Amino acid sequence: MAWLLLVTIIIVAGSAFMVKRLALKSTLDCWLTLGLFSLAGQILILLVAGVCLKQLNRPTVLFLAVAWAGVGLLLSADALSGIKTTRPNFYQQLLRGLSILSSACKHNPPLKVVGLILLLSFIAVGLGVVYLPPYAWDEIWYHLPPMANWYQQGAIAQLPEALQWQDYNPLQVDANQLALDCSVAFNWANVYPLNAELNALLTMVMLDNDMLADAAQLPYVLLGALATLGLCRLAGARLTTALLAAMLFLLTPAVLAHLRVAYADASFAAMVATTLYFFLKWQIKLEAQYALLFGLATGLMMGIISTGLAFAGVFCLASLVYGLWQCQRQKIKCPQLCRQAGLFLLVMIATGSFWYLRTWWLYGNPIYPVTVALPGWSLPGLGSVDQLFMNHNTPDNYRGRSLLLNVLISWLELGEETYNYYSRTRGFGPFWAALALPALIPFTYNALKQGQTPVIWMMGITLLLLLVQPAVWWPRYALYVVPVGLAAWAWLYERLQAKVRLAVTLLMIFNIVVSSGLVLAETLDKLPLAMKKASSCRTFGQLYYQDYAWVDSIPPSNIGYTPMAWIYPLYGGLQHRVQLIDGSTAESWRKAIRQQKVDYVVIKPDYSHYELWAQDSADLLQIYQKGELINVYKVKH
Amino acid sequence: MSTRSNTNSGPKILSLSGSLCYLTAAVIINLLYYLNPGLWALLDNTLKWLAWVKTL
Repeated sequence: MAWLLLVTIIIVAGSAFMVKRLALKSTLDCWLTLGLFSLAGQILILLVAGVCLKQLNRPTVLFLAVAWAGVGLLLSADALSGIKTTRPNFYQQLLRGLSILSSACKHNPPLKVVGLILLLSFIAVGLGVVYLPPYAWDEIWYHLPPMANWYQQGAIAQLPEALQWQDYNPLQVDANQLALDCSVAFNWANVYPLNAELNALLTMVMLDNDMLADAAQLPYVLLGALATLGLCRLAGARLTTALLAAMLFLLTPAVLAHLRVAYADASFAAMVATTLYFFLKWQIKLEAQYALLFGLATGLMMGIISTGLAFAGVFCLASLVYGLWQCQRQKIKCPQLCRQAGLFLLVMIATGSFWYLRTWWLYGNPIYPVTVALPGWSLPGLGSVDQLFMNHNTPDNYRGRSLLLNVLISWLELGEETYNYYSRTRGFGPFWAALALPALIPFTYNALKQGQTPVIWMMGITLLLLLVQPAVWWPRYALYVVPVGLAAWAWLYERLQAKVRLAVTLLMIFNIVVSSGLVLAETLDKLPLAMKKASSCRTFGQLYYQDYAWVDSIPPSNIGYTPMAWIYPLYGGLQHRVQLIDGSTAESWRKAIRQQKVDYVVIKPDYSHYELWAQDSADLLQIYQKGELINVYKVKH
Repeated sequence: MSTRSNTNSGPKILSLSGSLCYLTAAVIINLLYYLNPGLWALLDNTLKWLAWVKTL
């Protein structure tokens, strides 16, 4: 743990020096910028260590972190620029921010109560991260397997699984199987932007275990809370109410659920909110440092999930329109605007394009496996977004129904699913549905009436993002509306009659107690059992699916799996090597088992013909364990 | 919703009717959440039924 702490401190300290160089006046902007620089630094360090140096190990990461801090120190030195400026002391600003927060809490009972609920929720989530293993569907199929693979390889490279499945033919399978096949590591892990997952990789490299892998989204989500605070302030809310809204963002069921799974959706929403905030700040200031921060936030957002590419397009277009408008109004000179646009684009491309360029290089399409088909121009893929994602994942009762009704039912929290990481037909929580969503109407109306430019842009951009977002009814994918809704709520909350405000406060507290309790139920249910067990026994097999418990009782081994078996639990806390064993015929499959020198083969018996092939391979395979989900064979060497 | 300024420095406060209107909306949505998710199934069926009526 000391190594992880050390590298984090070094990266944050280096980033703090860089923040000082920007001479930002607002304390909140300093905090947000510190978060952005730290995340950018961490991503850069891992990419340099993993891609360029192929030395993804503790000493290299530490060395690069020190180099990052050195660059920060150089940038912060006045001597370098040759200009003596009076910059506010960054650390004093941070301390000032903390003291403002503590004094704001002193005389504000709602803040104290919500703060207490948040603290208890974070304790539960923290214990869950430490005591419970990664268990959620997508993370054990494709968010974490590449991290484990890269950690073991000591390099960020193309996954062997992806190479084996490069000739996959989508026309040979039906739509459901296509979606299922695409869900696993062979495809997604090799093509997804993985900025958020790199947090998990850093913890693996520095700790030599995966204890904190599930906390991958925490830094982004904290940044999202700060961005929510910023959006509320831009909407005209007081600091105390904005602070309350930031805490409510963290208590949003889908966000809370995602704090314990290495997915990317809460991180993405947080980065969209941060990008929106810096876009609005750039509009207000029209200064180069805000163009840089806007570009940095956009780039980091782009590198989390592919939707970010479309969102970056929306932000680029909006800033272009606004910039030209301000140029015409002579608020900014044309060369100055061009310089800021150049800076924005440069930073955005530098921080956000790596994963797309990599996929483009490997597959000939930056957003593979989604087919790009424009008149006269197309890029190869396996199908459209609907074919690959939505058709399979849309609930039956949502099919063929009006989009607006789907959105209403899902956003108003009237779906019948429980709160969990999936967050498909609910996830914003009863507080957001009942109190934030209705607040958007008077908030927008007032902004239009009063001509409040930042709020009008905030609402306009969010609307545009919703228009380009597929399956907008799916709360996990549309989580970025939460900070905007909270800004509307914060604005309205302060303007309510005192007695009504009291009623709203009570309703708010009741709702977040209920929703937080429901979200944390799964964690709290598993924790007592997990806390009684020794650390070596707190595993996926012993706490979730018994079929995987055998992984804990074998010495470090080479495990082969056939498609559709859950992958990540097979790593057994990163002690086993895991690889795909595949072949188009029984003979080629058996040859792969011999060539790849695996000790065990895991088969999902109801998927394809692997189980039959295994049963016909008595000379090579011996049944080791028959389970409900998987069968395990031991390889006869 | 009309607003009035209650102090020189603070934000304009919504009228009582405006505040109550907001609270009522919130309570209704909360009631739907806590009491009757089936209501939406009913609405869904009603819409389907209306769509079917339209086809006649």
